[in-house]
Amino acid sequence: MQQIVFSSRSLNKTYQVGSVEVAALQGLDLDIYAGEFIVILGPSGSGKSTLLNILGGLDSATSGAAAWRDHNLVEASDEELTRYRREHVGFVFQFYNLIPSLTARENVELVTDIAEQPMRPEDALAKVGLSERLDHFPSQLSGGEQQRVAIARAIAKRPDVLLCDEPTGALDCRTGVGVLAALDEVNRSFGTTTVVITHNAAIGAMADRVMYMADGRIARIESHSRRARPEEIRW
Amino acid sequence: MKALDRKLLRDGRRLVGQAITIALVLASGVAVFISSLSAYQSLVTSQQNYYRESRFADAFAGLKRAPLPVAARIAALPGVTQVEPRLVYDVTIGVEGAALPVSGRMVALASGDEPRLNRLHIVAGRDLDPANPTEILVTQAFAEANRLGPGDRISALLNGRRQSFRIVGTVLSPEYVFSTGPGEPLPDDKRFGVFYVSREVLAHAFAMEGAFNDIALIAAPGANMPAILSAIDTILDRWGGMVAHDRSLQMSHRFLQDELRQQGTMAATIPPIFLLISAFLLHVVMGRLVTTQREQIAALKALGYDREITLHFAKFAALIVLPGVALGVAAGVVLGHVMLFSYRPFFRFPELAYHLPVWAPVAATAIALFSGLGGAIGAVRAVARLRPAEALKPAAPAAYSARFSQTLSRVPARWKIAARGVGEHPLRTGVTLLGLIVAAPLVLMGLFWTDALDYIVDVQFAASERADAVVQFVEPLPARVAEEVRRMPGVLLAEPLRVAPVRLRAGHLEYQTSLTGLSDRMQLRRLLDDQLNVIVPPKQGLLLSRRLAERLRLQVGDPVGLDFLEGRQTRVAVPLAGVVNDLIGLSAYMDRGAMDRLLQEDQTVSAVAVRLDASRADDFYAATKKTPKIATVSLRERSIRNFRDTTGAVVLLLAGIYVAFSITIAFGVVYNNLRIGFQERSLELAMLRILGFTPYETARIFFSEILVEVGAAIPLGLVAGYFLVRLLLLAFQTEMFEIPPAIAPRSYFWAATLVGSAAVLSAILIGRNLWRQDLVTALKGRE
Repeated sequence: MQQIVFSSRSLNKTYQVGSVEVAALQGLDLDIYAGEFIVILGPSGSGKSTLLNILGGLDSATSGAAAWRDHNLVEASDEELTRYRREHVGFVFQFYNLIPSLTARENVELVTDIAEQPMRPEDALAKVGLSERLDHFPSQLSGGEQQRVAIARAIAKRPDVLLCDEPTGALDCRTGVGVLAALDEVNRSFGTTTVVITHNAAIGAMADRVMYMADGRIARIESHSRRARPEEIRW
Repeated sequence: MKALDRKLLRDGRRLVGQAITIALVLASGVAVFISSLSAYQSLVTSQQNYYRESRFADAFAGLKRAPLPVAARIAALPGVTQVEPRLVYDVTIGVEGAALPVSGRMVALASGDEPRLNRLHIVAGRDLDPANPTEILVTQAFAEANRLGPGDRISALLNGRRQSFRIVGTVLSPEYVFSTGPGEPLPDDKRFGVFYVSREVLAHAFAMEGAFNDIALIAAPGANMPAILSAIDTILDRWGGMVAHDRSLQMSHRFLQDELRQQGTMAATIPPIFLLISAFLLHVVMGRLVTTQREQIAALKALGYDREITLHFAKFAALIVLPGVALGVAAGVVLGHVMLFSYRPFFRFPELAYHLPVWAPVAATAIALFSGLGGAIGAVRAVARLRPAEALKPAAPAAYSARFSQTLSRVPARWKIAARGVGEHPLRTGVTLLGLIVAAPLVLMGLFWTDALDYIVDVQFAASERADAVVQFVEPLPARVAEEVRRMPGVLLAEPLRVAPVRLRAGHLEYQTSLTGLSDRMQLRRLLDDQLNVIVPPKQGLLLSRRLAERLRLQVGDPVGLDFLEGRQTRVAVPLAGVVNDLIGLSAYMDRGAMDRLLQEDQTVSAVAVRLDASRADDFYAATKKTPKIATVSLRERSIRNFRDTTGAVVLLLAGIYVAFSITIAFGVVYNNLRIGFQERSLELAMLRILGFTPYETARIFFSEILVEVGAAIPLGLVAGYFLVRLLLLAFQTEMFEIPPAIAPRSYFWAATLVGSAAVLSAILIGRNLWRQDLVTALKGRE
């Protein structure tokens, strides 16, 4: 039996938007196992991003239980969440969010400087195939390259979990596949638990499990006995 | 209400902190502008009204004694419309309980007519009863300083005889808006006053029945004044005439003009700087504020809005600008009234009516709107030039070069953010720096005045005029009188001076002043050069205040025409031997022996400078009051106080207002610059937090950039302040004073501290956002 690294029970998250309460998560139950590659699919407003934000310690739940190993994520203070993010979580966003004034290497260094047992920034960038572009600034890199720097930045601290929010959302298919290959490589070689949320159903093929979300719940889960190689994916 | 207008209101509410500080910056600039200009305009208007209503004379002449028909000859000169022959005498006044010697000028009309020129304005009590020789009118300033009023009694020493008078009224005279005692550079209302009595009193006391010793006249508009003056000189030559002069040499008018010019210069130079700087900041801030709404502009454009966007942001700018201007104008008018009210003790006009020139608020509003709307619209245009699709996408990462990579190779990545942020965003850094840099000079410009006044007092009264008191005699006396003064109670040291009124001529330029003869080993009166070294008057030649030499366009070695205006009225030419660094007044000096020879006198003395034993000073004053030969005693302590109370007080009042507003502006500028900087970087900062940086670590990265900017801006601002003060002082050279660009270290310190504190306070206010930052929202802002 694989080890459960993340679990939630009856997880609720409501937002106050003006005078209206929006329930983003409604009694969500979930277990994620160590080293899994999970793709969460669902339409806008289904609660994907909210779930990812709670998993990553960027937001806290309204009620219910959620824990990363022994870290209680529902009742954690801001300081505890910061430490959790710093020590365990790597993020990849749709729009890369690199620091424009730092080169690829320096963007990675930003994280390795505060991590306990980081990789060398050069190694992290090599892992995503950017050994040749170490000293380029974001403005000198293509979108796909920027996203791979973001992945390198996320993995350089050797995180326990890699959380990706629409990592290929801003990229064309060919570039997007390159980014997915980088994620796949990290997951396979380091065993980093990886959660990718996306609208793009095609990406589901490369996951161990695909979760379909609707109305703040997990509507169904699909398990794959064989994960597709990223280069097999087309959209 | 249209949706776009609703957005306007909500944006206004969201940005209320910033909107208020921007409005305050603008209001400060406008308030200084309006208050200074309106107060100045009110003074000028009041002066003009007063001169016109009281029929202030155009020309004046003093003489020894002439029969009244001579006045009729002057009245008959072409261009002269009215003359008034008078009796004017400087006398010693006895005021009950006055410790210090008091002198006064007694004035009476020489004819029995009603006064037609220089009409008195009665403030309290009533006019003289011409039939009653014991009645007297006193100037309001003197009455107030000595707490006298109608019903009180004073005495006067008239031609050696003490005579008692009853005050029936206090008055204002256009001739004595500022009343300056003989030999004093500045008014001292406690120790010098002007008194009006009936003709019989002075005519009888000085045996002047049917005669006059002073004349004032009004000339027809466009009359040839120099011709009139020289005709008067010719007529009065045989009656001991002392050279006729127009208003420009009339003491009160001259002083008033100088004060007004100073006010005018202050109003014309500093407030526009305030207004322009706040307008500039408005421009910059509005531009940056609009740029932060880039995505919204693009979205509106995508929806088909076009002109409405510009209009929308113009309204947005107006929403900030107009309340700011309104507040500024209101504060300016209130402050203008306050300033005018506080001028009352200095500018004694019957009426100081507030007058706001219409163009001032119009100009202020126009400048503010122009710069505010310009900044906003310029930024809208820049965004609107992009295609909506392009603008809707997040801005491409700003371009950086590897220029500094070598230098920064050992610096941790997080500090590189700050270093490159400063180094590679010359425009953003430049704008922020400029905003921060202008704050310091404004503060310095206000603080500097105290230093300048201290410097003047130090140099003029501590290093140069070192006598505790200067005794002036009614007329020049033999040199042994200095020895007599030395034997008076309390006197430690007595040094003789010879002072004579002179006219200096250089080509077609001339100037009337007093010439002081000094002995070479004097301790109590020293002449200083620019480096504050003592200059000993050479055995031959003349020394002049530097500004006087410049005014007469004289170089050292040039000949100077020297006409003595007393005694034998000798006319000679002497070389200019050097210049003296006088900060107050324009004077001439020479060796006392040399002056004796020119005057063909044998060691005469007209004044004695003394050093007093402080514990026996009262005995000394009492003794001087009993000595009829002594006309006046001027005291250093009082001169300093007078200086601080007159020019000093007026200047410091303005300076205080400037400091208060400059601090507001400094804070507003710093806060807004940092606030917008925070806005521009908010995603970057959120990203750092997401990557696991604590709020504290994030704050350090953000503030290190600010620290670099503030750290660079303050010294640059102080340097800019130094040059601004120097530039400003070019406009401030008045006849009476030279304001030295002496900025004390403490002013630099305070300017730096105030700007630094504004930065720290702003940083604290803004820094709180780092702890409150909602990371999810920050990310959504982007996605």
